Amino acid sequence: MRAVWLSAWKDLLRLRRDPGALALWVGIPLFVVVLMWVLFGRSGAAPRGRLLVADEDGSLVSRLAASVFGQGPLGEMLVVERTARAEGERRMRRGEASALLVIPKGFGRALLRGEPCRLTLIKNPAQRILPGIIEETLAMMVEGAFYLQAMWGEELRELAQGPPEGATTFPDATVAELSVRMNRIGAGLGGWLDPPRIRLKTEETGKAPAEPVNFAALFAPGMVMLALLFVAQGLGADFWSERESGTLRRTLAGPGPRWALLGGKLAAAGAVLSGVSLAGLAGVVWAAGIPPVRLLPAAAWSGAAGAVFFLLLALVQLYATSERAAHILGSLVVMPLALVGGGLFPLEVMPESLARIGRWTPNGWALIQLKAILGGAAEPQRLALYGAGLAVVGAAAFLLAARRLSRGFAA
Amino acid sequence: MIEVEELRKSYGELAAVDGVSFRVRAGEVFGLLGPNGAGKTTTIGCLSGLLAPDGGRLRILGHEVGRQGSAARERLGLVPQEIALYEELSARENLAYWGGVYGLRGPDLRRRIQEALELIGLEDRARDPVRTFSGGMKRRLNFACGILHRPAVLLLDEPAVGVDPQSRVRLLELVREQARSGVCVLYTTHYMEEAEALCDRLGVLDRGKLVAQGTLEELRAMLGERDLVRVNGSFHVEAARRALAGVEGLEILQADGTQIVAALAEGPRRLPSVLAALAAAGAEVRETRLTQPSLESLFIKLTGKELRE
Repeated sequence: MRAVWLSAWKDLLRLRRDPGALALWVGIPLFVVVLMWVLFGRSGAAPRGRLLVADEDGSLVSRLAASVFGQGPLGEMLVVERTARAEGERRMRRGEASALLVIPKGFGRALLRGEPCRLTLIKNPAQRILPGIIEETLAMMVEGAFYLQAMWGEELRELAQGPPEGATTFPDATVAELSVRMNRIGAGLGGWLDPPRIRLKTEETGKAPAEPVNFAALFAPGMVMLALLFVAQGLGADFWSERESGTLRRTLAGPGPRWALLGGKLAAAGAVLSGVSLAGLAGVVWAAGIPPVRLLPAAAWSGAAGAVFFLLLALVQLYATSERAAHILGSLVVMPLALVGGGLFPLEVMPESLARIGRWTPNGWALIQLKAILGGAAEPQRLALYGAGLAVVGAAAFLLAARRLSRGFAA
Repeated sequence: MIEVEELRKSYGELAAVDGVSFRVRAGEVFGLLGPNGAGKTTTIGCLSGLLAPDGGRLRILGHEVGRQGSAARERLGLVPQEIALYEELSARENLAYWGGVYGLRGPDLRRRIQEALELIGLEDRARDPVRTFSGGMKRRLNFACGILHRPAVLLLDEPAVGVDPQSRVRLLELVREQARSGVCVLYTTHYMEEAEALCDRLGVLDRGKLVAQGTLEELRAMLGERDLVRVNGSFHVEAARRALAGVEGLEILQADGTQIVAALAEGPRRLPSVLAALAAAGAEVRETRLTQPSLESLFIKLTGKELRE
């Protein structure tokens, strides 16, 4: 055990003397967090998207239709911007908006007359949630227009014909007659609508409802996991720097057990990764308003996951044929994991096909459990099972790494 | 004591060490001399247990390196070719770590660190990070880390590579002190002068084979009392060989279009005959060098090439 402690002491001391390395590993995810927070997260609101509207009709009806997206809760999520169709399409190709809604010429007139017309919605394939919300809202509007036609179709058609020839406005008598007819239809339906004939009773069973999700809870745990991945990669690369400097050969030529060096590196990595977890998750807990009692279990989980990342990435380093190959191979492993494992983009906002892959990556899987712990939805039994799985994977990686270390890597 | 019998180690088709045998006694410095790629570092790697040999027997202080690895390594000191130090740590911290690797601790460790720092003249820089040291200072500290635990057997793998002359002299003196105190030292080098100045016995290693071994005197005797003559210029090799065949006491060791190296009895007296013969063969001589018998001439005689190649 003394050899393990000695090796860990040495690595921690080296890291303390070179804090720039750790700052860099943690800095990249931190930079992403700060950037996201500055862009989206200061008010705690969900990220805002941009809806481009190309209104080729320019009628009162088309303006009313477009304004729906800028009101109420939708207005908090979407910035509605009017544009010409060609410009809108160019911007969509550049990925500058969540969606482009094209309202064709004659839309208002067609709606009032109950004639068919086509609205075009171009969605940004790189986004999932906001284009989906826009599409759903549009579908609801179309449905609303159908019921409007069903109730007041005749009156709307009369309005669409416009004032009598030679007049600029409708005669008072026509306005009064249309108003009375529309009021009667409304009054006739009133008995069905108020009070409602059907009451929907909602009853939730099983788990307590999930707590409200905010920016910090959505993005920041992934960033912490990303930081752990980068730190684990950086620490894993130390095997090659020790090999190249000759310190590895010298240590292994000593009388101590050869696995002790790996054990020491694991202990040092575990300490660093736990520290990063604790600091990062403390920020998440504070920013997301998560009960502080969940901090320690979450930090323990992510620290343990980070230690296993370290061992797995150490294997990549140890089995590479050169330092350069190890560097390339490490990046080839870490970058896709960072992208699809929920580190840069939350799994919740990814296209389902990508999210499905992400959930099976080591960091994606660990992130799901971490979010469950932070959200208070983790089941202790299941978590214990997952912890045991983590330990088994870690032990297997440790044995393989120790075997490689004592058989040829240092020579 | 180090005992190596018929050591063999290959990397694929390449035989890095091929049937090497030698013994090193306590208090003796045994030099393994050979160019890069001769098999010196592989031999050290097998002795320190870092490489598994393909064949042969290796014993350190009577312990089999393979089967009794830990016991064999306990009193073994290794100074690798690289500066195997942690650059971020201070000299004292490096010594503390390497001492700890060999089981030293507490007051004993602190005392030995102080002694080692005095020995290598780095007491005033003990707390400075190693990355601020000069190459010579690093080499001295590298050496100190290998002897801190007072090993009975010391493996030195080209420890003076890239060291300034002053530091090299100090380093060689430190190695001699170790041998005088009874340590069994195996020293690999490709510097002739180092080997001649330091080693009690030498083994000449070439392409994985030990082509000669013995004391410096025994090795010199293999060459006879002949001098080494080296002629640089422009030669027709076959014509030059024919012309030099008539010079008494001359043996060509190496010849190509630009250089001829030969062993020559009574060199100072016979050198004019050599130059005359070459002139007759149409050679253009630009430089001539006559030296007394040395390891270098022996190495050329044994391997047909210079150590620098």
